Amino acid sequence: MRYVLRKLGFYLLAAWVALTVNFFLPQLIPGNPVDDLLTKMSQAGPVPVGEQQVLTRLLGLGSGNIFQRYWQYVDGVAHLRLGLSISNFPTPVSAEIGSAIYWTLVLVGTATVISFVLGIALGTLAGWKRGSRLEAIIPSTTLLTAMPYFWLALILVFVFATNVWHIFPAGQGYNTNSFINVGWNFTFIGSAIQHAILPALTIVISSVGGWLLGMRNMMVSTLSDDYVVAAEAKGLRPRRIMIGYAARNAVLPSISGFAISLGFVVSGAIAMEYVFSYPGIGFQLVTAVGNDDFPLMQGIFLVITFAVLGANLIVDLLHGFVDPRTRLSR
Amino acid sequence: MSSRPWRARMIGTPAAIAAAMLLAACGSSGGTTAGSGSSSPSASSNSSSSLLTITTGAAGTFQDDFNPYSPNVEDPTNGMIYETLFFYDTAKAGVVDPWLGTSYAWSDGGKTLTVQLRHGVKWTDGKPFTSADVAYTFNLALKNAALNKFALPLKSVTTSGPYTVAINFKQSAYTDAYYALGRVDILPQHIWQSVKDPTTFLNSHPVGTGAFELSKFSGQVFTLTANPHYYMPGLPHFKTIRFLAFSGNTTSDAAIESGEVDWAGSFIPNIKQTYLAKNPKFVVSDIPLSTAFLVPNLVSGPTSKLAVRQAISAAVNRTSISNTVYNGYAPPTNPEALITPNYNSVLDPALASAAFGSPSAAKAKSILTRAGIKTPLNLTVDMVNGYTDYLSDLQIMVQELKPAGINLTIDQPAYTQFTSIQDTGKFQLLMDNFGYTPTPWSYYYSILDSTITKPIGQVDTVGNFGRYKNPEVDTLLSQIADTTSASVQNPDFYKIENIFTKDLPLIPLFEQQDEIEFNGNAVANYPSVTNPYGAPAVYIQPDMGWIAARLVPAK
Repeated sequence: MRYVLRKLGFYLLAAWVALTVNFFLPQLIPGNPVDDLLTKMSQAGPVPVGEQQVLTRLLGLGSGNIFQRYWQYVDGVAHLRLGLSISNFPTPVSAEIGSAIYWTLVLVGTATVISFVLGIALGTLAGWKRGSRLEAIIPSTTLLTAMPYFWLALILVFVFATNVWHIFPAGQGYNTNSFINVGWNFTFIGSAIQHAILPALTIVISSVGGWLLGMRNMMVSTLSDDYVVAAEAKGLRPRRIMIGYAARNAVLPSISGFAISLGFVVSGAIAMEYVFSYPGIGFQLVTAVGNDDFPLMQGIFLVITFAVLGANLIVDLLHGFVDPRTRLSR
Repeated sequence: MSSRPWRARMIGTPAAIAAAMLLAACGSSGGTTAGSGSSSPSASSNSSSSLLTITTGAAGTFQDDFNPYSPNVEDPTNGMIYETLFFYDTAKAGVVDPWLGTSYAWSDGGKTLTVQLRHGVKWTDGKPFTSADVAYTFNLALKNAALNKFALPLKSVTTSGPYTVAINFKQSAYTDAYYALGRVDILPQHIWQSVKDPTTFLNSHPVGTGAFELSKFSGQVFTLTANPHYYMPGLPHFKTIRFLAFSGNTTSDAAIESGEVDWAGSFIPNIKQTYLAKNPKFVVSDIPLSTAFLVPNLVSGPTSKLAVRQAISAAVNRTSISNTVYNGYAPPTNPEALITPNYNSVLDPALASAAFGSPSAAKAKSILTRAGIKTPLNLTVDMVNGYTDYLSDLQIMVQELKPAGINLTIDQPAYTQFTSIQDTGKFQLLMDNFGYTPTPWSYYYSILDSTITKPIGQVDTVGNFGRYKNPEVDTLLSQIADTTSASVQNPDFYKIENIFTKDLPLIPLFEQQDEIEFNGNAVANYPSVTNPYGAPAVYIQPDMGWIAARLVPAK
């Protein structure tokens, strides 16, 4: 129990630090939302003198010094009030994030699971049959992992969407050019899946190599362990040794890595979402930064931070139970 | 390129957001198929006579926001749903058509504006429109400064009878007429008086007087249907309007090129081949509405010297840039930078045929030498990152200026950073465009008046970013503002035009390209240079609504 409390205390502190950084970091970006809005307005005709004050008031900005605003912010977060978005004023930030997060959770979540399962399965095989031709997939997948994310996405778009074959759509979450009711109907889900394939492929291709390599290396070291030798000596079937003895132990480190990467799912894959104009959190974050939309930026950072912290906390706690060595000595 | 005001569009404006650029970089061979995978049934919209499909370009997703006070309001709010008292034609200075008002008169030296209202107008919920609604609307701005969208110097509003309203100002407000009469949306008192906080009200079910009412809304598409009881006889002609959102220029361009969209304002590279050649009835309506400039810093640095500005102006080949980058759709402007034919009514007849001399690097160099300026001269020009057409323009200028002894370096800060550089005046040269107003006074005021500027380093959000200061121009501008008589104003305009030509406070380049695409298979009676009854640019309100009611389905 003491272990749990200590962990919780630590995470509380980490959350506060993250919260504070969340607040101050965006403020360091040059420019401010009112000036941006005015510049945009001035491109559709001259802006009347005095417009700046009107907008500042309308957006409810500029009240109090930075510490007062910091206090308002902390108070708001404590009451789960994230404020109003500026780039989509007066839509609340929570509604903005709510509209984007499901796209990211479903797409990036599914892709992460697929990538993990695929990586572990291939890694198990590669580790089991070390020295065989199967090992060739290791350098090729790590090469794909090393390739910049957005570049891979662009190549996929080039080949499968715009220039070589017109198989998949080049962007967006679903076919937005026809009347599709967003909801549980086949037209929408079909369209959403079709639009998700290339983005998901990007994630899987670029992350499978990491899981594969880690799993394969753990397999190799596990296979030389005594209990595997013992299992072989008992005359168990190779398949059973591979899965039940070696892989089961080798997968442990990957599982905790997986839990953490699930936390990062929330942040989406910014480059991927940007290239595909996918209506998720990552794309929203880029737009928010481009518009100096501080409340939205803070809201998104907050959600990401808490998701990652939460995932870490769960892994930490689970480790405490699974592996007694990580608990306190007393 | 097209500049348009809001949110994602602002990044995506003049050219394309980076994502779209990446995609475009990836493949510009653009097929005829729409960017989306499944072919859309809406392609048949061309044959259906009563559906008008519009896109305002890379808008991301639509927000359910029809509050005219919101800075992110959806485009049709102003003009299609709500209406103003009068319609100021952004494409033709001096044309003011009656809308909710029928006539107006100034009194008390420009401090009182009395408006006669139209009879028999009804809100879409059936309640009658009266002077109480107009008074309510102006009182909102009077009571809550945050709702005084155009910073009007309001004092009080009085009504006499249901069809007469008098708006009183604290000071002479002739130049505010355009905002008070032509930009303030009149709201229904019976609905808005129960709104708790109009600043954060989303107004998802707007009730207006306009020719169209909102019927169906989603993040990617929303539809408006014709107001069956609209007070202007025979209008609107289209029964349904559909707005489409695209996340990038690539997808929106594909939809425009396939004829799926009937009215759009997207910058389509190489438009003659990629759009006009696709269908004989595809039309580009290109009415000059603003001017692209190189804005020099007039306070410090080499650009504060007239000779440097003259040399740049002399060396740049405007015609060749227009042809290379814009397919000729952005012709060179004139030395007085007056937007023609829009502002022809205030053009000095002596300048009517003024034009830039033929570009010559040798001439530019001799201007510099005569002024004793050492070459090579190093200059930096700032432009917004992602405005690809401006980048092409400037790259050509770099080549043209080199033989004249000017080394031009292009800086491409991100949008927000550009805003800060422009507002604080911390630049040598920057490329931007100004215009989009039906009043020539407002145009010259925003680029030349020194009373709106702040010292270098302080934020100036209104205009005159180069910090031009000429007391004579300031006086002329305030004289024009003090009267409504054209015969008094015009000589002052002529003087400003001549001073501009001599001082070169900004280096005029070309008419800002405003390519607006109309699909002639579906739409007729769209505005054009010969019939500029409104500015067809989809991002100019309320012109868009005025025009939408007057577009006719093609037979």
